[in-house]
Amino acid sequence: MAGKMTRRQFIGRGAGAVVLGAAMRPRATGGATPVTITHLDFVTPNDGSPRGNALANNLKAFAEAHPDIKVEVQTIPSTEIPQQLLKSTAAGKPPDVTKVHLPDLSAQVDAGTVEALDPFVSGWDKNDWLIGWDSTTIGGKKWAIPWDYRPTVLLYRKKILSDRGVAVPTTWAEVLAGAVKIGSDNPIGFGIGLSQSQNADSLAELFSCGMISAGGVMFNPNGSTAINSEAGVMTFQWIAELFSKGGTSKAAVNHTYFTIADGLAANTIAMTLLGSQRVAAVAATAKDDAGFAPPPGWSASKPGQSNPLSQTLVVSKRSKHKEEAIRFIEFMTGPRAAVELARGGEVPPRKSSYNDPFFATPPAANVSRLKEILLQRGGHVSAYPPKYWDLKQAIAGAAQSMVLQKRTPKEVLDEAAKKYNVLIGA
Amino acid sequence: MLESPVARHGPGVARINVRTVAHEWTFERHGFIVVFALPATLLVAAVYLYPILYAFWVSLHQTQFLQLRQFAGSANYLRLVQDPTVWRATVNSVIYMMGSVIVTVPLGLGLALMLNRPLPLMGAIRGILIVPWVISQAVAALLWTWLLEPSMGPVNRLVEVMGHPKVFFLADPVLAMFTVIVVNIWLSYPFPMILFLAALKGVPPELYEAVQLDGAGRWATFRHIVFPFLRPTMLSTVILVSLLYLNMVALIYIMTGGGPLSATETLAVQAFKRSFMEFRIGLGATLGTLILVLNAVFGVGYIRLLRQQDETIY
Amino acid sequence: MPPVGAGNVPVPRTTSGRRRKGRAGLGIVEIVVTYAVLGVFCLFALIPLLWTLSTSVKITGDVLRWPPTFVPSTLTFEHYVTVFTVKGLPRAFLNSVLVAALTIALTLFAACPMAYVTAHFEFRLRRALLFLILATAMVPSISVLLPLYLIAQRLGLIDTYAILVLIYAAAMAPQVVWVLRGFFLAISPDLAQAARIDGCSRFTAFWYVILPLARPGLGAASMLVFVFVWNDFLITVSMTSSESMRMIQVGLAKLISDVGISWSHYTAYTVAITLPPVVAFLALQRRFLQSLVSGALKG
Repeated sequence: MAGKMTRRQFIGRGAGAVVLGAAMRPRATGGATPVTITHLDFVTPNDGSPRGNALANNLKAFAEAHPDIKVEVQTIPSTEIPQQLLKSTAAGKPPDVTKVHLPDLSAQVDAGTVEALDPFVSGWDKNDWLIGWDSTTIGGKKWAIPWDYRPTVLLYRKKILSDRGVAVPTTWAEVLAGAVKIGSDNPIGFGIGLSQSQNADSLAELFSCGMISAGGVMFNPNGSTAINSEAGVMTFQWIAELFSKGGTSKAAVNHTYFTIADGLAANTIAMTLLGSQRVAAVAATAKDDAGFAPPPGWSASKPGQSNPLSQTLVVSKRSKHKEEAIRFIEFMTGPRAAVELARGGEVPPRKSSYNDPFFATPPAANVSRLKEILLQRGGHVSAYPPKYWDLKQAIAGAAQSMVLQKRTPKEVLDEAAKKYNVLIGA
Repeated sequence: MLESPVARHGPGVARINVRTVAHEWTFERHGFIVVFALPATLLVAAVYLYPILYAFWVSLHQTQFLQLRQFAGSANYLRLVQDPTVWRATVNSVIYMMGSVIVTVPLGLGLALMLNRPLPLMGAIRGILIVPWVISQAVAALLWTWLLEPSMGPVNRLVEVMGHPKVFFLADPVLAMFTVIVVNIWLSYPFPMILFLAALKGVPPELYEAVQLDGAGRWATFRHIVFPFLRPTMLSTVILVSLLYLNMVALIYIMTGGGPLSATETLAVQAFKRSFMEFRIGLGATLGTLILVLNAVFGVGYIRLLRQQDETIY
Repeated sequence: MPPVGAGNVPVPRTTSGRRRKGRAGLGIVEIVVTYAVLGVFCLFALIPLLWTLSTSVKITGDVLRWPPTFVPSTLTFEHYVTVFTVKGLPRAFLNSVLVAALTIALTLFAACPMAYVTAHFEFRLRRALLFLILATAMVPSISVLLPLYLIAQRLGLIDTYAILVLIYAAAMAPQVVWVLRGFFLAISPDLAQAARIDGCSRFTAFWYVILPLARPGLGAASMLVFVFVWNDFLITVSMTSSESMRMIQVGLAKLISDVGISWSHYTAYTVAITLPPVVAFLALQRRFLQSLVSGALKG
């Protein structure tokens, strides 16, 4: 009967299709056996998430373009990557390529787990990168290639703002005023997180944005920290007022990046400063009500700047296939992989990638806007030092002390700076 | 015919009477003991001997990332002794541990006693009550952080509905310690409960009857009949839960990161941060030794406390 | 020979093995209070998990919202489908179950005999041995993780069941020795003595007379070992690197990333890994928590 197969026919046809498909797989060109490189990441290919699908597609494209290189992906939770790289290098069996978060890079350089890439990338176009070539340069050597960029943006819920008559703020003073107007609960005006859990990342990002927007720097040339400079004190003063005037909840003392992003998605937080990597996740729940804007500045004439963070790719010092690793990195950070990367919600790092027509289409609207914010407000990327984690903890501790024990910004920042400087021996 | 040891010695059966167990100094007896004690000894030694020695060796060195740089003798230890944050962490460890033990052990015992009664549905209730134990620390931490979240979680919604202003469970130093202890209790009370429940099955029911006929009350029954049977289990339970609590990291670290203001930073959390986040394994190993000493001190304390004359529970 | 109970006292047979209510002084008030207290604790135990369950069947848009709702307006099982198909749960589940079973076997094999001899025999090194073995459990695992990893790499044991089972068993053996010891201490050594007089070897006496009486203890110890393996993260993430060898907690942790926690998947995964052990416990508890009276009557 037309349209109905017997089970036998189905199996027969299925088996035939498998055999045919197997016969049609591309053969390795040449007589060389393929080299296998291992790539350590926290995104699992084909796990159903946009990034997972993007990675899977890019891996497939790479396999077609480079049939002589096989890539084996190992995934572990992102928090485990720095340790895993250290441990596996010590054991003599590191992955060839690893995805390292930029602030974690200098520690790996210090520990000698990563290879200096200068000889491999000497022919690359150094001007093709959205942020300067130096963002992953430490001590004059190039240690990693950026995978994406993550500018800090002001994320907000449109309806709450319009309901309370708050225009999208462009200065820190406007943010504070808007937050106080919206209130400290249901919804929270401005989401901030002082917790030392989750690497104390959210406060560090806000703090560095405030400092840099004021023209300050986090670190002096000699490596000691400048968080207690005028710019830092000004930012902390802002934080103190945010709490005292009721622009945020008292519970923020223990909030983290995660609670804030969740709060924004749940419509219980109206505004916050977060990295662009969170935009897609919030938009998934909030749909069109979620908006983002460039970071605020301290005055109308000085627009806000931020230090964009990024994920990067490194090659292990003990890797046995460095050439192949570099080719993999070049592909994954270049124009051929950029469209999938953007579909996954990330901001591709090379200018030439944006020539692709995809970036003029509506699905790429967010990524294109983020790229613009990055270019205009990208600030400078200071080399995050090896003990940056300790500094982040100190900053969070200082803010907790300031809010809970009612101390002055200068006092707590001096203390935190001293703790860090003593630690690094500066 | 052997005399009943219960009749002879009373219900404190946990005695080794060297006269009934013929204490022969034979090769055979010693051989038996060696063969029976060997697997466990070998297993633990093979896996842990070198790592423990290595960990101690690391604590005597100045380290950089995972490399041992310079032999420093007791320098790390001296440094730790002079560090006020270490003392504070020790106090926090003890508070966390004692605060939890004081509740979970009696709670586990009480629940076990109730569950031991031959009433219907006990099987199902037992199943429900052990569920928190099957949850890992990380899940419990994330779950409870969300539940207690003032702006998003149901607990504060309930508090509000009852007319009380919202409680900021994790934002206040004292309240945060209290909160992590309560979450810990939720997570771990099934541990002693399971052990006591199993131990209660070893109490001969005719003892209950014998005492019942004598007209003894509930409390007397418990004190003189049941408790002596439970004493060895009580000791091992208290030691093991204390061990668990003193070594616990994930629950606290995920809920509060040690804060606010280091109020919940226990020694274990601090050791974790030093080793895994700051990559200062020398100091981390030193803190590990400190935790070992603390564990041992409490272990010995419990043994002293629970031991009675002429009784062998240790 | 009269039936022997744990205290070597003749045991009156009860008619159905079940006590009548009213004996042992269980009055109505007592019963009500018992159920009330247990009911409260059941709520205490379950409410966070009911919340997890409720979140796992909500559509993504409903998960994060104020005010929070217990009962979702629309139900969906898509998150369970996702978790089972693309998040690697089935393989991880299999690995965890296998490793847990092997670990229980190895731990009991090592710990039972040691617990027995340290409970029923007096010998010179008894106390030292007991304390030393406990001391190894007192060393925090974070201290020994790095050397264990380096050795495992050197021996090529990464990504094998063997290394996981060995480490877990060695971690739990001391605790199980102490737990089982408590149970053996409550059993009279005269029982083994009587069996030996009848001609049994020490081992046979142990295996056929003493061990069955410690069955509740074995059950409790197995549970502790199982939960330890089930909930472990640090050891498994260090000792395994390939997807095919991962265990459940790693798969769960991967649902948390730099772009947030996908609560729908996280809760679905959590429910999926929590229910099976609980169901298994419910099914198996009868075997282990039988009254020892009937156990001894059979033996």
